[in-house]
Order: sequence, then C-alpha cells, then structure tokens
Amino acid sequence: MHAEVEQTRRRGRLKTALTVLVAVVLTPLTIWLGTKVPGNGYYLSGTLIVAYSIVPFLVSFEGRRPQARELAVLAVMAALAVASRAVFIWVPHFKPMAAIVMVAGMAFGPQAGFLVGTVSVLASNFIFGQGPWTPWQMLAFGVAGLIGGALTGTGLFPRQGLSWPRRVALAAVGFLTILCVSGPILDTSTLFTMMAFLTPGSAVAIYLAGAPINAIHGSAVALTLLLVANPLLDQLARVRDKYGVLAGGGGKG
Amino acid sequence: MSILPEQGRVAFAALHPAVTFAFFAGAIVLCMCFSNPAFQALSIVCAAALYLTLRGRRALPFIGGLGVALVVIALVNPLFATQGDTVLFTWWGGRPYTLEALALGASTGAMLVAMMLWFASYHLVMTADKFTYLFGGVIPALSMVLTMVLRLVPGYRRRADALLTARACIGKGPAEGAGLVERARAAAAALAALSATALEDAIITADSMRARGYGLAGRTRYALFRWDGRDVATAAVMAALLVGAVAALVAGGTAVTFFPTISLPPLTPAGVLGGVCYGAFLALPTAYNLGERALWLCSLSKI
Repeated sequence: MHAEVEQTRRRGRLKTALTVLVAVVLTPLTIWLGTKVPGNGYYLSGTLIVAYSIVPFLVSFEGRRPQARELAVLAVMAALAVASRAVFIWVPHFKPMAAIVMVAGMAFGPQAGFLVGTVSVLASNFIFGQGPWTPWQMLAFGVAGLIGGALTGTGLFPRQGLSWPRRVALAAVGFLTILCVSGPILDTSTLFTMMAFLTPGSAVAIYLAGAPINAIHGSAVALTLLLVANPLLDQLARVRDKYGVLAGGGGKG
Repeated sequence: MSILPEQGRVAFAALHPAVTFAFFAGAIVLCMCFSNPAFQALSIVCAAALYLTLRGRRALPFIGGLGVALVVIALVNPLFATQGDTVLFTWWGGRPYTLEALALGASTGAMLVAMMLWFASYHLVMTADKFTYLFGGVIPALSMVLTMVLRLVPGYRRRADALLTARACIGKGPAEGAGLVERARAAAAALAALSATALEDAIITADSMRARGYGLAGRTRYALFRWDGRDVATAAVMAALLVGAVAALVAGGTAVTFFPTISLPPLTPAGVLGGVCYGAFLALPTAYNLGERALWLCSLSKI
C-alpha cells in the first residue's frame, strides 16, 4: 500500500516536470501565434500563458495524492478567504481576501498558498461571474499565497506567535505585494482588454489609473494582516500540531 | 448557485456539459480572433440573443450598460493612439484625433462587449456542478476542494452574520459612527471566531470522508449527466461549422488593417462561407432555446 502511494507520487513528480517542460515550449509558440491572429492576439496569448503558469502547480498538487484532511483544511482556508468579505461588511470597499490567502501560505507553505489563492478566486467567480479576467486573478492571488509561503519558508517570519514589530512588517509586506505584484497583474489584464493598440502611453495610463485602486486594496490587506494574521496563524499552528495536517510546510502530505 | 430558475427548461442548458463548454470556448476564443466588423457584429448579436433567451427582460440593463461601455472605449482610444491619416480634429496643442484610431477603439470595444456577453451566458449555463463534473477526472483533488468551498461559503456567510449580530447585541460591535480601524477590528474578532470553528469542523469532515473511503483505489464518480444522441448530433454540427469559420480565419479573409487608413479585406467566397458558418455556429444555442420554447407553447395550445 505504501509502496503504491510512493509510486503514484513519483509518477506525479514526473508529470509535473513534463508539464513545466510543455509550458516552457508552448510559451514562445503561443506568442508567435498571437502575433499571427488578426484580432486581439496578445490578449489571447497572454491569457494562455497565464494559464500555463498556473497548470504546473495544479498538476504537482494532484501528483502528491493529497489526503482528506489536507483537502478539507485547504477548502476551509479558501472558503474563509471568499467569505471574509462578508465579515468586513461594515467597512466599505474592503477586500481582505489576499490577506487570508497569504496567511494560508505562511502556515502551510508556498504550494498550498498558491492553491488557496487560485481556488478562492475560482469559487468567488462562480458566485459573482466568470470573465476573461479569471485566469489573471487566479495568478494574482496565487502569487500572493506563494509570497506568503516564501516569507516563512525562508525563515523571515515564524509560522506562529508573531511579535508586534513582525506584525507591522507583515502588514507592510502585504501592502507591497498588492501594490507591486498582484495589482499590476490584474492591471495587465485590463490593459489587454481595453487597449487595442499597445503604446507606452496607454500602458502607463492604465498602470497609473490602477495604482490608487491597488493602494486601497493593499491597505485593506495590510490592515487585515495586522489584525487577523497572528490569531489565525496560532489557530493553524494548533491544527498542524494536534492533527499533523500539512505539518511539513506543504512539502509532504 | 445559478440565478437561472428555468435551468431545466432552457434546452441549451440541458445539453451535456462537454458540448456546452466546447461551444463557449469556441465562441469566446473566436471572438478574440476576428476583428472584421461583420464577424464582430454577428458575435454581439448572437451573444445578446442568447443572453435574452436565458434571462428575458432582466437582460436589458446589462446589455444597455455594455453599449455605453462600447461608446466610451471607442471615444477614449484616439486619446492614446494618434496614428491614422484622417484627422477629425486636433486637441491639447495639436494632438490629432483620428478616424482610424476611433474605428480601432470601436473594434476593441466590440470585442470586449461580445466577450462579456458570452461570459454572462456562460455563468448562467455552466454552473459549478457541470464544471466539477467535466474536470473531476483530470483534477480530482482540486475539484473536490472547489466543491467543498462552494458548499462552505454560504454557510460561513450566515455564520459570520450571526456572529456580527451577536457581538453587536452584547455591545462588542463598532460604535455608531466609528472609524475605519475600529470597524475593521470588530470584524477581525468575528473572523477569528469563525475560523476557529471552521478549522475544527474541517478535521471532523475530513475524518468522516476517510471513514467513508475517500481516496481509496477503484472508486468511481457518480455521473450527473448522460451523453445521448442529441449531444452527438449537436457536437457534430458544431464541429463542422467551426471548421468552416476557422478556415476563413486561416485563409486570411477577415483581417482588417486600421493604419494608416482603414482597409477592409475584399469579399471572397471563403470569407463569406466562413461568415455563414460562424453565424450559424453562434446562433445554435439561441435556436435551441427558441425552438424548445416554440414547441412548449405549441403543445400548450393543443391542450
């Protein structure tokens, strides 16, 4: 039984490596094809390349044969991320979702963080409406989770019991993540949809118009991280210690 | 999840999810590829017609809003793109506002409008159960997570509402006219309470799943949908029409160049045939819905 699981995992790793290879080969091909298409070619190829960057994560997660407890905890984190907006109903224009995704990454590792980000976006869009922006949002929030995982993975932040200076630093990191990484990814999607003809002027206009919105979004994420990250990380540490869920920081199920 | 009360009575939504998904994928990808105004008009008209058959009169505000967006995108584009020979007027110290840039803006706007309309219908027809059914074989663990999330979110919302109300009742809610940080702090306390119970429930759910044999080898999935003769026929017709439309795209009879002056491609037999195939492909779901409706009204009148 154990050998069988080990074999499936090895096959899963092989499949992941193949997926990455296929994505690397397909990307220049897609760009070339995009220049040939008479319509909005770069939107099409851009969206496809975004999808290629997401798929290896999903394949590698499937290849690990995750156990029921792991799935349930990831589902709860993604559902909390989607529902968190309803909790902050008293605060207008407040989007705390990326903060919960980052906390999930910090507690369970970069891969789990990426998955919580992508799944929460997908689920949220099933409720509010899918669109051409769905893959871009999945990437933007997945990367937020990835950054969260990198924070604890590199030892910059502990997995629980954050001190006050650390909490403030985490809030700052959250703000910068939205302003400099996730926000611009979303703005690129807008740029490709709204602008028929990419010029430096139109690109600058879209990114500048996006900056205040990203700053508001980033402030909401920072405030949520400041208030929620520590209690949530302690709760997740308890789940890790008591039940052994994702105890290896997402490396092994 | 769906706001389509007549899901079962809309004929197109009753087709197999693979057919439905293939239709929307084809319609959306092709709508990004064709910049010919005739093809774009076909896409917008068919997409609007499908959305109308799905939502009736409630579709009109959305379609009207997209019309406004189209005009705005068209008018804004010449402010950034200044190429083109036909200058309509100059502004801001001699910056030209050209007809060509306006046309290109209209073309981009039309593409966006068509895409939004197709996605609006997609949202109504391709519900989460169909999505997880379709991809459950390829990504079993992730579609399990997605199903769980979609089931948990409404419950969490209700529980969050109850928590916030209860905390307000014992004087722990934000004071009247409280600042932003004060409100956020009250919400954060409720979120921590919600997550504490949610995580404990997750472990119970997972143990229950394990006890019922989740993840054991040799287990099959419950198939919600059946692939029948109607699906085969629809898929075959769709594939044939798609080949015609893609042939026109590859033959290059659809490209429009905007700069320095607008030039439409010459009318070729391949282009016309491609247009006919494209229009027939896009009109398929609307024809399905209207046909079923007519049949229903006809059978009513016989009673």
